[in-house]
Amino acid sequence: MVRKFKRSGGGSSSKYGNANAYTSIASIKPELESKNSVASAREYEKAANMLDRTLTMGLGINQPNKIRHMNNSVYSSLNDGFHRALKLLNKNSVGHLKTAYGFNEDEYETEIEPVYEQILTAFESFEEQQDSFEAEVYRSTFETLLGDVGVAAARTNNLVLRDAANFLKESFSNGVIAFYEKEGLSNPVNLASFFDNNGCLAFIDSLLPNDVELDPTNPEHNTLLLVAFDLYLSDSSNYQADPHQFNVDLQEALNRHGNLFLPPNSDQSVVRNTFDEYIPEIDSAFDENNTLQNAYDTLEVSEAELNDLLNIGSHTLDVNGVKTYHDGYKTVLEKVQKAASAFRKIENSLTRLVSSLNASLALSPAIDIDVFVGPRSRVNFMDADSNPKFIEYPTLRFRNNAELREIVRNLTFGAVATPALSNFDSVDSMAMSIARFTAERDFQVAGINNPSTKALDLAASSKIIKLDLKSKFRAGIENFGELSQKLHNVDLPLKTLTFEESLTFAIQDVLKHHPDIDANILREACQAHSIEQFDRLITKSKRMLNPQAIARLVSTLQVIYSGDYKSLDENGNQCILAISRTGFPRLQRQVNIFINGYSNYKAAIALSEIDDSNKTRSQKIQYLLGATRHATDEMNYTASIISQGTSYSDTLYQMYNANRAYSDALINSGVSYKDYEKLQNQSGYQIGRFGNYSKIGYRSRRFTRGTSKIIGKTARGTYDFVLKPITKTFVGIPFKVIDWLTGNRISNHSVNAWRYITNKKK
Amino acid sequence: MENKTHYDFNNIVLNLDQAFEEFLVRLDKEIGFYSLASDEQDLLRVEFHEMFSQAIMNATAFALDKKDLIDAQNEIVFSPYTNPLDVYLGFAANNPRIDEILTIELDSLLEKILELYRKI
Repeated sequence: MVRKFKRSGGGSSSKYGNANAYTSIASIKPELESKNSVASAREYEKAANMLDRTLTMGLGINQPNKIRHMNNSVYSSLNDGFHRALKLLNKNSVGHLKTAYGFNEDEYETEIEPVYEQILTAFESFEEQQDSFEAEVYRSTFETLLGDVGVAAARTNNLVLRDAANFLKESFSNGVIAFYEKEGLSNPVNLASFFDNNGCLAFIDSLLPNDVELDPTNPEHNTLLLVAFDLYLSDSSNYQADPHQFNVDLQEALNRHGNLFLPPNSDQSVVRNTFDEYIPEIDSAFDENNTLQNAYDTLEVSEAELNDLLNIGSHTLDVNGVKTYHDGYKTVLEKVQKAASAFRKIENSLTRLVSSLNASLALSPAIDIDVFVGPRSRVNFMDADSNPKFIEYPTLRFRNNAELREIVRNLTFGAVATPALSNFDSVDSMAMSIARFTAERDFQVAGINNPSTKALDLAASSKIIKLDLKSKFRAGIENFGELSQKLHNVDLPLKTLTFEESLTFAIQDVLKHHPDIDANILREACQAHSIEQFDRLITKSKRMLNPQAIARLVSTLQVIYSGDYKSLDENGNQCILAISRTGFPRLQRQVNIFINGYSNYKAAIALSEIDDSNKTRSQKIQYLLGATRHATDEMNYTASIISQGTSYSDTLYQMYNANRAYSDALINSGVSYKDYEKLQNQSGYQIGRFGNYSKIGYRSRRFTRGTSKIIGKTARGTYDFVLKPITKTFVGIPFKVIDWLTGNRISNHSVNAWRYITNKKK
Repeated sequence: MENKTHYDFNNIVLNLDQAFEEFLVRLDKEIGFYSLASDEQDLLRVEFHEMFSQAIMNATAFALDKKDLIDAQNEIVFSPYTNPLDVYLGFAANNPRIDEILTIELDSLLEKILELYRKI
């Protein structure tokens, strides 16, 4: 059965979103499959890149675990766990900690060192395999390690081993989450597609109730998908090798556990619900700060306590011939009386409840009150005249709410539901069957081959809740930032996104327009926490990104990171949030630098043009001033665009073009490379430090177009024979005039340029 | 189930393990967690601890304003050595109603486990 997945809310146009992503996958898939048998490292790399692009474009829905490189966050997390565990277990560290952990040095060699060696071996293997990371192989290796360390800790009851195991577990858990979230497989829509590709979606679908259609955007169905994927992850290396096996196991899960949930209107369900409502009332039979368990203890031990008081003479007091209870004796008696009274009330209410259920449901067999209440018991004591007396109370067969629930849980009426292979009562029920199957495996992995039903049920329930908690967390965060709407604005397909997914979207957006770019570089750059770091990450790579691609990436990231175009800066003023709060001052600085550079560029252009004219000195001055004013106006306009936050990428592109033109103008003017560099450092060409712009300017031309010759040999000549005579014409222009007239700091660098050109630099 | 327990943010920050034990006591009261075999308890304890931490993270994330939320997420992503829960807790201290939010979230977690468990 082929189903189309619905998206809730707007934006279901087939032009965008999933349809596009899936189409992209479909087009690449055959090529990808043909690359699966890799013949050489180069082929491997190609296949990996191909897959990477596929995943990026399709959000990780196709063979996500085949060949993957570990990303930084996964690596860091795992590396961190290894380091912490190894550091803790190292002989030197342990020596310091032995007092705290309470063991002696002999134990190091027998208990700790073997574990240390095992972790070290795993760590070395982890390091070696870093470049050929296969998540599932690694996952199973790590789980074995965790299991071994855990068993060693339990066997020796050694706290230091337990802590080391926790370090490893924590880092592994974070690493796995990072990995799968990177793959986009935390998203139900992707999961549905993943299962569809693996051929098991139709199988799940056919078992659903007839009137139910699988809809990944329905939270109830999400749980089923997430639980099924959890099962997949429990043995994914096998399932990956043999996808059919997953269906077999899925079938076994559903077959063995069947419809676990009680039908809502069954007698058993009604009885349980009735007791669930009744049980909290038990607490009200007792005083504040008292409980059923306390009352039970009181009744059991009070007779002995009363006897003790009697034996030590703290039973009665004789005041002027009148005998009264001793205070201690009296206090105990009062407690007994209250507890006994509460027990009688409980017996009474339980009897009423059971009678009512038996009558209204015509239960077969009827509930016997004796399963809750036992024979009467007594607390014997002496009255003030030392005559034997007693307080009678009904014994209850439960000491707390939990035990009462267990009794109710064991009540069965009529035929017991048998496991079903088809026609599940509900999606919930299917999810629970699969969760129970996975929980069973978890117990087996932990060496518990016959877990109790109670433990299994608790583990299965917890599994479902845990998956839901994570979904809720993601959804909560994403809705909070109104991210989906913003992402929709930039043609991004899914409704809910993790942080990693949002980065994937940004990358996807770039790749749509620049498919030749390596996604890995983009992704790495996205890990930057500031523009400076972004810059560093990109420029350190030998593989260059073109400026348009960077501009697009930055623009998309801006939308994603901010969730809104505008935010508040540290002073509470509204501003654009560029990449993060820390990025904003940097952005402002870049803009300022650019403004300076752009004006310099205009000034340089003006300088170069002024010579060709036959203007008077006054006209030439006017011309220069006009050029700088024009530059300032353009900059103001650019600044206003930026402050409105409408198109950061356009602005960056504009900056890039302007700087390139500035660079051209300077090169053409014949300044020496040394002075060019000086100007570059002082002026707007600093903007080139953003992203990869610096690669576009002087240096690349110098080496790629042979301009070094021009610079090295011709520039001086140009200066001597062309510029110098021109500049003589303007010797009289006061250098500060541009500054003064524009009212702008920007012309300082123009002055430097001017000074150089007029050979008056200091 | 009683709803008297009020989780205290400071206690959680200072001693997460102790707060977790209190959570288990409440669970035990409802379904008898401590009556399970010790190896079963150990396995489930790990599961519950993860859920407990996740629920606290949910509560703290809910308690953050937009700016803090974005900052917290950035800090987590860019500092892989930092425990995300610590980051969220750090930011959540700004919310005066954090105790209340934590209590609702953790009570709701317990209630959900019980609700599913009872249906089996």
